[in-house]
Amino acid sequence: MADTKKLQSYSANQRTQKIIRGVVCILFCILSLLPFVLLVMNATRASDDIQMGVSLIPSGHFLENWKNLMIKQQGMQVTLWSAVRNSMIVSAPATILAVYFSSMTAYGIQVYDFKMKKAAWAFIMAVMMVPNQITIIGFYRFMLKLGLVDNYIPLILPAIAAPAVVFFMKQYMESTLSIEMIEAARIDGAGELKTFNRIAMPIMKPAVATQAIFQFIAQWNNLFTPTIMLTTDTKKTLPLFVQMLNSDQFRVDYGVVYVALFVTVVPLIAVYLILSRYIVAGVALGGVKG
Amino acid sequence: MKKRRKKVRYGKYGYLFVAPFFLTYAFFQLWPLINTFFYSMLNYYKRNGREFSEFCGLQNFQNILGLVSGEKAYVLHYFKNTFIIWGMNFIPQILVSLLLAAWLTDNKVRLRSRGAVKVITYLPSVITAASISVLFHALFSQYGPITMTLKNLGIIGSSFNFLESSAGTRGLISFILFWMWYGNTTLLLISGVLGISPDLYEAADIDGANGRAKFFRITLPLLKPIMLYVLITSAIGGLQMYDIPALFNVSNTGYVGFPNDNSTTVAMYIMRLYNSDVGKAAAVSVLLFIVTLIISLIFFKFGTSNEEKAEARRRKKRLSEGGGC
Amino acid sequence: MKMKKATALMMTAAIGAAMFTVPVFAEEVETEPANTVSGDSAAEDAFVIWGWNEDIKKILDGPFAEAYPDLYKRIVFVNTGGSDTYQTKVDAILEDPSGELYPDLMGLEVDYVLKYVNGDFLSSAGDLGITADDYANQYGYSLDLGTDYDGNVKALFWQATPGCIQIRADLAEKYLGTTDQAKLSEMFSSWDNILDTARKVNEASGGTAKLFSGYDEMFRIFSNSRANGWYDENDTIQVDENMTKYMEMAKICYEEELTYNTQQWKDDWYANMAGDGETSNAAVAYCGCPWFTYWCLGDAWKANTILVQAPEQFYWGGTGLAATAGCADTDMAAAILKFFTCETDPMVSINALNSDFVNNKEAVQKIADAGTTCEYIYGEQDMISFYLPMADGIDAKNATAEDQDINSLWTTQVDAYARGEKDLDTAVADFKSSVHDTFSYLNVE
Repeated sequence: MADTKKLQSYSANQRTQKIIRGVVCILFCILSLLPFVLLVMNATRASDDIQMGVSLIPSGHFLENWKNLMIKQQGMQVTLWSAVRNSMIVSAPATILAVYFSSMTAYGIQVYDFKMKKAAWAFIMAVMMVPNQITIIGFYRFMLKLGLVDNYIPLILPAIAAPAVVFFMKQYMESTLSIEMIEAARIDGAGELKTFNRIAMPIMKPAVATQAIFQFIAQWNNLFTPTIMLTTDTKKTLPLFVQMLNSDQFRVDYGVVYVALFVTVVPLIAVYLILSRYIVAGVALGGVKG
Repeated sequence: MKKRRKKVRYGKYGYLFVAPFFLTYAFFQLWPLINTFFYSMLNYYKRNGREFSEFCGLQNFQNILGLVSGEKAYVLHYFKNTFIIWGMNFIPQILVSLLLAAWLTDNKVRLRSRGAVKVITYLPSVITAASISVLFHALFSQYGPITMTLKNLGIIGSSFNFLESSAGTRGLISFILFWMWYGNTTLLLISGVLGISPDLYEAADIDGANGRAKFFRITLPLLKPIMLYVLITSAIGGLQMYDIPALFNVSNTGYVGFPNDNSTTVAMYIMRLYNSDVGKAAAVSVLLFIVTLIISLIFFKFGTSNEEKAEARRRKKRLSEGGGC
Repeated sequence: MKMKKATALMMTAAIGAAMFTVPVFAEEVETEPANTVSGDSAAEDAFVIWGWNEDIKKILDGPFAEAYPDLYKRIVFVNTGGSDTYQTKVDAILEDPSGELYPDLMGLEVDYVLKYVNGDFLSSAGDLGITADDYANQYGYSLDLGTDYDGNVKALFWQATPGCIQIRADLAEKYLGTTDQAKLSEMFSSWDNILDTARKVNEASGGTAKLFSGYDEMFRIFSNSRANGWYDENDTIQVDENMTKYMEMAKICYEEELTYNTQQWKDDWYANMAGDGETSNAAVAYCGCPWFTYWCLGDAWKANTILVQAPEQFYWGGTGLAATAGCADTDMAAAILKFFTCETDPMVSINALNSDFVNNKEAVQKIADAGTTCEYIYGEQDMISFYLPMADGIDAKNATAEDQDINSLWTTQVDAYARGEKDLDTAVADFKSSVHDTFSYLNVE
């Protein structure tokens, strides 16, 4: 008797909890969606209206804006399509390099005991704290000397050394990777690199997915470095394309700019949705037990 | 003892595994970095595109700290701005993210469409900083729709202008940063929570622990490494904060944050100086680096003491489990 | 889970669709191949030109290509895509004249032209064989902007940019009771008159309309007509009388609420340009110049703009060209510079192409004689004839290489003073020390 009552009040309590939490989550969702909605709305509005303020009501100018974008891109040396492709060429390999080699570095420091281990870790932590803004100029001059300016290499290869990603991976390994599992693999006769690829990486899946999303988005939206590094129009990435639309300082067609922004956002959301599956799946249910 | 012997045998692989990172870093980043330290000790300025430089020891540091007569310590003001903006963004951000992460991973009170919540709250960080600044500026400008609504509701005075008020501008920048990154932080924390072995929760259930106890006794302590990551990366990112404040309420050069220089961050100051006084800009960068280092070390000290205990506990548990099977 | 998968699928489909439609659309609309490559930079005789947008290129592609098809073929145009990073990129590339993309000719904006003119980066016009006779028709002030300390002319401008005040006719009728250009000119002929006019607008509208959107509308008029620049020949920072006058004007405007205190180019500022004064706020007048009249006025100003002189003659903006010190083909550089900035007929054709108010008195006279129309002008006023005499009286000797940065520091102090947060002396002292902080070679006396 007493037990049933307790259970009933417990489930009633759960129901209220669920409602409160649901409402709070919905409020946060609205908050997060609002500017995105505004962006989409602006893509449907005429340039002059956009300049006058914000509106939540869609207007019928989307196709017109889209056509104007298509016309405008003729005057530029890079089309929307090739800008998307250029962004992919830079973002995808940079993301893969950053995530894979950062996991590898973190693994090296987490799993092995070597003389320089502490120094290496301290160094990685220290360089994470270097302000970006000031090294970029020196970086540019150095690339100029190497003849690598206006090339994708300085945008892709440095991703191998991404201290913040290493830091994340190491933190994650500390709470998920047990040395016993690695030792078990060694007993089975697996080589070190194979152990890393076959045992450690699958366990790291949620962390890899999370960091892959963050890195991809950071690369995709990166304006600062490509602005400095790229000069040939045909090589320009998507943010530079949007910036070029915007650069006619006094003759900006905002409708066109928002349509272009809209196009830049869509692939990101798609990549995010595809990868978020791994985060939801979770390591605890996969790697460790399997 | 046994463990140690094994580690030593495999030690050389450690070098191989960290080699790509260090080679890449050395090749692409180290030289510019060393240059920055070197420049900070030069009286190195540009005028009309010509560069002038000579060694001057620590004079740049004395200048930026206002230790020489005729020089004012502007950098302290910019540090203050940066700290205020970061703090007002980070504290609510970590609290909200923790709450959401706990709710979204709670199997007892299963919310519907949890995936959708994650996806949606993360969306803001997908849009580039430039467009976000433009959007928020439009929303909160003098006649912006949100400003007008707040005025009509009587929440703010009829003559209030966010962009003319230091608190208003700093608050909005903090809010933009909060809004951009809380979904991201929630995701990080969720991936941390999911990394915690479900066995621990099962064991706690058997012991009859309630949700709150599980959160404070298991989730929170085991989230420490990820929390530490969030805290430190956010602090580093926060101290180097540039994109949003440099695009929000600024002079047309982008280096002076209105009103009254009160939304100018250290990174904006570095960029402002870089065009005219490389030595001084480098000195401010080095100072920023030192401050970041100190703050991170403090966080580390705080973070690791408890974490190691938890770590030890967890490992022991795993070991015993492994033995049992 | 299911819903999310569906959303993901939809999104992927959307991108897929976008990726397919884009090239399809592009093929339909494109009249030229996608790679109208801006030239072959590897070619032996490549001639490299740098700019931050397509303005220069459009002139090269249009009238210049027609006049010099052989030279045009050799041109490699580098568009840095926005003026924000232009200097950073150009500075680095200028260090190495042997580089493939080292510019032979480069575009320069008034804001930073003196930095390059006073540096070692440019060839002087004389070295290229361009004589004073060649640019005799240019406005004097533009030559000042392109001349270094030693009197060498280095950068030449193809736009002239005399400033004025633009008034919206319908609002002038409503709040000032007239659309007569002469009467309005009187109302803007002195700073006291402007204040009175502003008060009149406030009264007549009850505050739903103001004379200016923000007090910074007056900044260019004061700064680009002052006698002394931001520092003297001994590098001592100085504040011209005009600038303190501007501070006082700003304070009066703020205290009497004569403007909406907006900032130029921001949303509120645009909104006031489009307002009607009844349901939305509106500003009656904007600071202007030829490029502003053509390109920046909103729809509400169509056939609705009256131009009057400001209390001082001033300039606003302008774009120039200069050959670099390492220019590989000075003859070609000279040909392009002359075409853009000296020769009358080509400059008339530039005006025909993009409506630039060209920096050539003879060409402007020709354009005026031929009769032009501008869709923004109200009534019978002839825009070119209005601007024609104004460019002559401008003095640009006050410009310095650091103006852009110093102006922003100045604005900060003006705002603080206008709002009553500081007294005048403190604001000026704070200004000087902040300039010294940014440019250590400039001194506080």
